[in-house]
Amino acid sequence: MALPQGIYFRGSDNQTDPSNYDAEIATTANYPRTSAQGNSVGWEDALSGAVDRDATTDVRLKGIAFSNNSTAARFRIDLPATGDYKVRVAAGDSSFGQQCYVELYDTTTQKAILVDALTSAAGKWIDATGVERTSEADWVSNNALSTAYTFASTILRFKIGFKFQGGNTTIAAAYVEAVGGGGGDTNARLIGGDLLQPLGFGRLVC
Amino acid sequence: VSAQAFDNLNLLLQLLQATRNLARDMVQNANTHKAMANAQNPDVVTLGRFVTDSATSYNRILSTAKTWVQNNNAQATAAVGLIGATIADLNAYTAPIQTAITNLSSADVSTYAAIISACNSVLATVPSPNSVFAGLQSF
Repeated sequence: MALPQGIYFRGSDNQTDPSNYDAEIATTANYPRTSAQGNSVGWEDALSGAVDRDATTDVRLKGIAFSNNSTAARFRIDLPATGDYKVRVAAGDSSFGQQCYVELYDTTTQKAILVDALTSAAGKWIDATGVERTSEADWVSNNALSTAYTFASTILRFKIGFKFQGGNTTIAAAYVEAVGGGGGDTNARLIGGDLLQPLGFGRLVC
Repeated sequence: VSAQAFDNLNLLLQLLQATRNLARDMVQNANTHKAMANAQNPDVVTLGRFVTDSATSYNRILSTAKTWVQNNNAQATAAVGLIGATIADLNAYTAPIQTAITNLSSADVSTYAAIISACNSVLATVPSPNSVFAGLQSF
Protein backbone atom coordinates (compact mmCIF):
# COMPACT_ATOMS: atom_id res chain seq x y z
CA MET A 1 0.00 0.00 0.00
CA ALA A 2 1.22 3.40 -0.90
CA LEU A 3 0.50 6.44 1.17
CA PRO A 4 -0.23 9.27 1.06
CA GLN A 5 -3.75 8.58 -0.09
CA GLY A 6 -6.01 11.45 -0.94
CA ILE A 7 -9.61 11.21 -2.12
CA TYR A 8 -11.67 13.90 -3.78
CA PHE A 9 -15.41 13.40 -3.96
CA ARG A 10 -17.43 14.13 -7.07
CA GLY A 11 -20.44 13.07 -9.08
CA SER A 12 -18.36 12.18 -12.12
CA ASP A 13 -14.84 11.00 -12.68
CA ASN A 14 -13.71 13.37 -15.38
CA GLN A 15 -10.84 15.30 -13.83
CA THR A 16 -7.09 14.90 -13.95
CA ASP A 17 -6.15 13.48 -10.58
CA PRO A 18 -3.99 15.72 -8.44
CA SER A 19 -0.83 14.04 -7.18
CA ASN A 20 -1.65 11.36 -4.59
CA TYR A 21 -5.41 11.84 -4.99
CA ASP A 22 -8.05 9.63 -6.56
CA ALA A 23 -11.66 10.44 -7.41
CA GLU A 24 -14.51 8.82 -5.50
CA ILE A 25 -17.85 9.05 -7.25
CA ALA A 26 -19.83 6.27 -5.57
CA THR A 27 -23.01 6.98 -3.64
CA THR A 28 -23.53 3.42 -2.49
CA ALA A 29 -21.33 1.17 -0.42
CA ASN A 30 -18.37 0.30 -2.62
CA TYR A 31 -15.62 -0.78 -0.22
CA PRO A 32 -13.29 -2.41 -1.16
CA ARG A 33 -12.34 -0.35 -4.20
CA THR A 34 -8.70 -0.18 -5.24
CA SER A 35 -7.56 3.41 -5.67
CA ALA A 36 -5.11 4.51 -8.35
CA GLN A 37 -2.51 4.58 -5.59
CA GLY A 38 -3.15 0.91 -4.87
CA ASN A 39 -5.00 1.23 -1.59
CA SER A 40 -8.27 -0.38 -0.58
CA VAL A 41 -10.77 2.42 -0.07
CA GLY A 42 -14.46 3.10 -0.36
CA TRP A 43 -17.77 3.95 1.22
CA GLU A 44 -19.07 1.41 3.69
CA ASP A 45 -22.52 2.95 3.76
CA ALA A 46 -24.81 4.49 1.21
CA LEU A 47 -24.79 8.24 1.31
CA SER A 48 -27.23 10.88 0.16
CA GLY A 49 -25.38 11.91 -2.95
CA ALA A 50 -22.28 13.11 -4.72
CA VAL A 51 -22.24 15.97 -7.18
CA ASP A 52 -19.95 18.08 -9.30
CA ARG A 53 -19.67 21.76 -8.47
CA ASP A 54 -16.90 22.80 -10.84
CA ALA A 55 -16.80 26.24 -9.28
CA THR A 56 -13.17 26.04 -8.28
CA THR A 57 -9.86 25.52 -10.02
CA ASP A 58 -8.48 23.07 -7.50
CA VAL A 59 -9.78 19.62 -8.39
CA ARG A 60 -9.98 18.60 -4.73
CA LEU A 61 -12.70 21.18 -4.14
CA LYS A 62 -14.61 20.73 -7.39
CA GLY A 63 -17.18 18.32 -6.04
CA ILE A 64 -18.76 16.99 -2.88
CA ALA A 65 -20.18 13.90 -1.32
CA PHE A 66 -22.90 14.52 1.20
CA SER A 67 -24.85 12.68 3.82
CA ASN A 68 -28.08 13.85 5.32
CA ASN A 69 -27.45 14.63 8.94
CA SER A 70 -30.09 12.22 10.15
CA THR A 71 -27.85 9.41 8.96
CA ALA A 72 -24.13 8.82 8.74
CA ALA A 73 -21.78 7.42 6.16
CA ARG A 74 -18.34 5.95 6.69
CA PHE A 75 -15.52 6.24 4.19
CA ARG A 76 -12.75 3.72 4.77
CA ILE A 77 -9.08 3.79 3.85
CA ASP A 78 -7.03 0.72 4.70
CA LEU A 79 -3.65 1.59 6.18
CA PRO A 80 -0.45 -0.30 5.39
CA ALA A 81 0.29 -0.90 9.07
CA THR A 82 -0.65 0.22 12.53
CA GLY A 83 1.11 3.38 13.63
CA ASP A 84 0.89 7.14 13.50
CA TYR A 85 -0.96 8.98 10.79
CA LYS A 86 -2.11 12.50 10.00
CA VAL A 87 -5.10 13.51 7.92
CA ARG A 88 -6.44 16.41 5.92
CA VAL A 89 -10.07 17.18 5.09
CA ALA A 90 -12.06 19.78 3.22
CA ALA A 91 -15.58 19.88 4.64
CA GLY A 92 -17.79 22.37 2.90
CA ASP A 93 -19.28 23.27 -0.43
CA SER A 94 -18.59 25.86 -3.09
CA SER A 95 -22.34 26.38 -3.58
CA PHE A 96 -23.82 26.59 -0.08
CA GLY A 97 -22.93 27.02 3.55
CA GLN A 98 -23.28 23.61 5.17
CA GLN A 99 -23.51 21.95 8.56
CA CYS A 100 -20.45 19.75 8.72
CA TYR A 101 -19.59 16.96 11.10
CA VAL A 102 -16.62 14.72 10.34
CA GLU A 103 -15.23 12.14 12.75
CA LEU A 104 -12.07 10.08 12.49
CA TYR A 105 -12.15 6.44 13.59
CA ASP A 106 -9.62 3.71 14.15
CA THR A 107 -11.95 0.85 13.21
CA THR A 108 -14.69 1.58 15.78
CA THR A 109 -12.66 3.75 18.16
CA GLN A 110 -13.24 7.43 17.74
CA LYS A 111 -9.91 9.24 17.47
CA ALA A 112 -11.23 12.75 16.90
CA ILE A 113 -14.08 14.97 15.86
CA LEU A 114 -12.26 16.73 13.08
CA VAL A 115 -15.06 19.04 12.01
CA ASP A 116 -18.10 20.17 13.97
CA ALA A 117 -19.28 23.47 12.58
CA LEU A 118 -21.34 25.34 10.06
CA THR A 119 -19.44 26.83 7.19
CA SER A 120 -20.34 30.49 7.20
CA ALA A 121 -21.09 30.70 3.50
CA ALA A 122 -20.58 29.05 0.16
CA GLY A 123 -17.01 28.67 -0.96
CA LYS A 124 -15.59 27.93 2.47
CA TRP A 125 -14.13 24.69 3.72
CA ILE A 126 -13.19 23.51 7.20
CA ASP A 127 -9.87 21.71 7.48
CA ALA A 128 -8.73 18.83 9.69
CA THR A 129 -7.88 21.19 12.53
CA GLY A 130 -11.41 22.61 12.58
CA VAL A 131 -10.41 25.91 11.06
CA GLU A 132 -12.66 27.40 8.43
CA ARG A 133 -10.71 28.34 5.33
CA THR A 134 -12.48 31.30 3.84
CA SER A 135 -11.78 30.73 0.17
CA GLU A 136 -10.46 28.17 -2.25
CA ALA A 137 -7.07 29.85 -2.18
CA ASP A 138 -7.10 29.87 1.61
CA TRP A 139 -7.82 26.14 1.82
CA VAL A 140 -5.28 25.28 -0.85
CA SER A 141 -2.54 27.34 0.75
CA ASN A 142 -3.30 26.94 4.41
CA ASN A 143 -5.30 23.78 5.11
CA ALA A 144 -3.49 22.06 7.90
CA LEU A 145 -2.60 18.49 8.63
CA SER A 146 -4.21 17.17 11.76
CA THR A 147 -2.23 16.21 14.78
CA ALA A 148 -0.82 12.69 14.63
CA TYR A 149 -3.18 9.91 15.60
CA THR A 150 -1.99 6.46 16.61
CA PHE A 151 -3.91 3.68 14.92
CA ALA A 152 -4.01 0.33 16.66
CA SER A 153 -5.67 -1.19 13.63
CA THR A 154 -5.23 -0.72 9.90
CA ILE A 155 -8.74 0.56 9.32
CA LEU A 156 -9.15 4.31 9.09
CA ARG A 157 -12.66 5.66 8.77
CA PHE A 158 -13.95 9.14 8.10
CA LYS A 159 -17.53 9.27 9.33
CA ILE A 160 -19.67 12.11 8.11
CA GLY A 161 -23.02 13.34 9.36
CA PHE A 162 -25.24 12.14 12.20
CA LYS A 163 -25.12 15.00 14.61
CA PHE A 164 -27.32 17.82 13.42
CA GLN A 165 -31.07 17.61 12.89
CA GLY A 166 -31.30 18.50 9.25
CA GLY A 167 -29.08 19.70 6.51
CA ASN A 168 -26.20 17.80 5.05
CA THR A 169 -22.61 17.18 5.97
CA THR A 170 -20.57 17.72 2.87
CA ILE A 171 -17.02 16.66 2.25
CA ALA A 172 -14.94 17.62 -0.74
CA ALA A 173 -11.69 15.87 0.05
CA ALA A 174 -9.97 13.62 2.56
CA TYR A 175 -6.37 12.54 2.86
CA VAL A 176 -4.09 10.45 5.03
CA GLU A 177 -0.33 10.18 5.29
CA ALA A 178 2.04 8.36 7.57
CA VAL A 179 3.77 10.51 10.15
CA GLY A 180 7.04 11.57 8.65
CA GLY A 181 5.41 11.74 5.26
CA GLY A 182 6.38 8.22 4.34
CA GLY A 183 4.17 5.59 2.97
CA GLY A 184 4.19 3.22 5.86
CA ASP A 185 5.10 -0.26 4.84
CA THR A 186 5.87 0.57 1.26
CA ASN A 187 8.37 -2.23 1.02
CA ALA A 188 5.67 -4.82 1.29
CA ARG A 189 5.49 -6.36 -2.13
CA LEU A 190 4.26 -9.44 -3.81
CA ILE A 191 7.22 -11.64 -4.52
CA GLY A 192 6.69 -14.07 -7.31
CA GLY A 193 2.99 -14.21 -6.63
CA ASP A 194 3.40 -15.46 -3.08
CA LEU A 195 -0.05 -14.31 -2.16
CA LEU A 196 -1.59 -15.56 -5.30
CA GLN A 197 -3.36 -18.80 -5.13
CA PRO A 198 -5.20 -19.96 -8.20
CA LEU A 199 -8.16 -20.96 -6.14
CA GLY A 200 -11.51 -21.63 -7.61
CA PHE A 201 -14.67 -20.44 -5.98
CA GLY A 202 -15.20 -23.60 -4.03
CA ARG A 203 -16.66 -26.81 -5.21
CA LEU A 204 -19.40 -26.96 -7.74
CA VAL A 205 -22.75 -27.93 -6.36
CA CYS A 206 -25.04 -29.31 -9.00
CA VAL B 1 -39.71 -13.65 1.25
CA SER B 2 -37.58 -14.92 4.08
CA ALA B 3 -34.92 -13.01 5.93
CA GLN B 4 -32.48 -15.51 4.49
CA ALA B 5 -33.35 -14.34 0.99
CA PHE B 6 -32.44 -10.77 1.90
CA ASP B 7 -29.25 -12.06 3.45
CA ASN B 8 -28.45 -13.91 0.26
CA LEU B 9 -29.10 -10.79 -1.78
CA ASN B 10 -26.67 -8.85 0.37
CA LEU B 11 -24.09 -11.58 -0.10
CA LEU B 12 -24.64 -11.52 -3.85
CA LEU B 13 -24.05 -7.77 -3.92
CA GLN B 14 -20.83 -8.28 -1.97
CA LEU B 15 -19.72 -10.97 -4.40
CA LEU B 16 -20.41 -8.56 -7.24
CA GLN B 17 -18.24 -6.01 -5.45
CA ALA B 18 -15.42 -8.55 -5.39
CA THR B 19 -15.85 -9.59 -9.02
CA ARG B 20 -17.72 -7.27 -11.34
CA ASN B 21 -16.71 -4.07 -9.53
CA LEU B 22 -13.18 -5.39 -9.09
CA ALA B 23 -12.98 -5.84 -12.84
CA ARG B 24 -14.26 -2.31 -13.34
CA ASP B 25 -11.66 -0.91 -10.93
CA MET B 26 -8.88 -2.90 -12.58
CA VAL B 27 -9.76 -1.53 -16.00
CA GLN B 28 -10.11 1.99 -14.65
CA ASN B 29 -6.80 1.87 -12.79
CA ALA B 30 -5.02 0.35 -15.78
CA ASN B 31 -6.18 3.27 -17.88
CA THR B 32 -5.15 5.71 -15.16
CA HIS B 33 -1.71 4.14 -14.71
CA LYS B 34 -1.21 4.02 -18.46
CA ALA B 35 -2.03 7.73 -18.72
CA MET B 36 0.39 8.45 -15.89
CA ALA B 37 3.10 6.46 -17.66
CA ASN B 38 2.51 8.27 -20.91
CA ALA B 39 2.72 11.58 -19.06
CA GLN B 40 5.78 10.30 -17.14
CA ASN B 41 4.27 11.62 -13.94
CA PRO B 42 4.72 10.54 -11.18
CA ASP B 43 8.27 9.22 -11.25
CA VAL B 44 8.62 5.65 -12.41
CA VAL B 45 9.40 4.23 -8.98
CA THR B 46 6.26 5.76 -7.48
CA LEU B 47 4.10 4.68 -10.40
CA GLY B 48 5.55 1.18 -10.26
CA ARG B 49 4.61 1.06 -6.60
CA PHE B 50 1.05 2.16 -7.44
CA VAL B 51 0.80 -0.73 -9.91
CA THR B 52 2.18 -3.41 -7.61
CA ASP B 53 0.19 -2.13 -4.65
CA SER B 54 -2.92 -2.21 -6.78
CA ALA B 55 -2.20 -5.83 -7.65
CA THR B 56 -1.85 -6.60 -3.96
CA SER B 57 -5.18 -4.94 -3.25
CA TYR B 58 -6.93 -6.76 -6.12
CA ASN B 59 -5.58 -10.06 -4.90
CA ARG B 60 -6.69 -9.39 -1.37
CA ILE B 61 -10.21 -8.58 -2.52
CA LEU B 62 -10.56 -11.61 -4.77
CA SER B 63 -8.90 -13.98 -2.33
CA THR B 64 -11.18 -12.83 0.47
CA ALA B 65 -14.22 -13.55 -1.65
CA LYS B 66 -12.91 -16.93 -2.78
CA THR B 67 -12.12 -17.98 0.75
CA TRP B 68 -15.59 -17.01 1.88
CA VAL B 69 -17.20 -18.93 -0.94
CA GLN B 70 -15.13 -21.99 -0.19
CA ASN B 71 -16.07 -21.87 3.45
CA ASN B 72 -19.74 -21.08 2.86
CA ASN B 73 -20.53 -23.01 -0.26
CA ALA B 74 -24.22 -23.60 0.33
CA GLN B 75 -24.97 -19.97 1.05
CA ALA B 76 -22.78 -18.83 -1.85
CA THR B 77 -24.66 -21.17 -4.17
CA ALA B 78 -27.96 -19.74 -2.98
CA ALA B 79 -26.69 -16.19 -3.41
CA VAL B 80 -25.52 -16.56 -7.01
CA GLY B 81 -28.65 -18.60 -7.68
CA LEU B 82 -30.65 -15.41 -7.28
CA ILE B 83 -29.49 -14.42 -10.76
CA GLY B 84 -29.69 -17.94 -12.12
CA ALA B 85 -25.95 -18.46 -11.87
CA THR B 86 -23.85 -21.22 -10.39
CA ILE B 87 -20.53 -21.30 -8.61
CA ALA B 88 -19.08 -22.57 -11.89
CA ASP B 89 -20.33 -19.40 -13.59
CA LEU B 90 -18.68 -17.35 -10.88
CA ASN B 91 -15.42 -19.23 -11.39
CA ALA B 92 -15.61 -18.67 -15.14
CA TYR B 93 -16.23 -14.97 -14.65
CA THR B 94 -13.33 -14.53 -12.27
CA ALA B 95 -10.79 -16.67 -14.15
CA PRO B 96 -9.52 -13.86 -16.42
CA ILE B 97 -9.52 -11.49 -13.46
CA GLN B 98 -7.31 -13.88 -11.49
CA THR B 99 -5.03 -14.32 -14.49
CA ALA B 100 -4.65 -10.57 -14.86
CA ILE B 101 -3.90 -10.17 -11.16
CA THR B 102 -1.28 -12.91 -11.27
CA ASN B 103 0.37 -11.39 -14.31
CA LEU B 104 0.25 -7.87 -12.93
CA SER B 105 1.77 -8.95 -9.62
CA SER B 106 4.88 -10.25 -11.33
CA ALA B 107 5.01 -7.69 -14.12
CA ASP B 108 8.07 -5.60 -14.81
CA VAL B 109 7.32 -2.07 -13.62
CA SER B 110 10.85 -0.70 -13.78
CA THR B 111 10.23 1.56 -16.77
CA TYR B 112 7.33 3.57 -18.11
CA ALA B 113 7.25 1.37 -21.21
CA ALA B 114 7.05 -1.75 -19.07
CA ILE B 115 4.22 -0.25 -17.02
CA ILE B 116 2.30 0.57 -20.19
CA SER B 117 2.78 -3.01 -21.31
CA ALA B 118 1.52 -4.32 -17.97
CA CYS B 119 -1.52 -2.06 -18.15
CA ASN B 120 -2.26 -3.16 -21.71
CA SER B 121 -2.15 -6.74 -20.54
CA VAL B 122 -4.78 -5.99 -17.91
CA LEU B 123 -6.96 -4.21 -20.44
CA ALA B 124 -6.70 -7.13 -22.84
CA THR B 125 -7.52 -9.72 -20.20
CA VAL B 126 -10.12 -8.24 -17.90
CA PRO B 127 -13.69 -7.84 -19.13
CA SER B 128 -14.82 -4.23 -18.99
CA PRO B 129 -18.23 -4.19 -17.36
CA ASN B 130 -20.89 -2.07 -18.96
CA SER B 131 -22.57 0.69 -17.02
CA VAL B 132 -25.80 2.60 -17.34
CA PHE B 133 -23.86 5.67 -16.28
CA ALA B 134 -20.83 5.16 -18.53
CA GLY B 135 -21.48 8.24 -20.63
CA LEU B 136 -22.83 10.42 -17.88
CA GLN B 137 -20.75 13.47 -17.12
CA SER B 138 -22.68 14.83 -14.19
CA PHE B 139 -25.96 14.67 -12.35
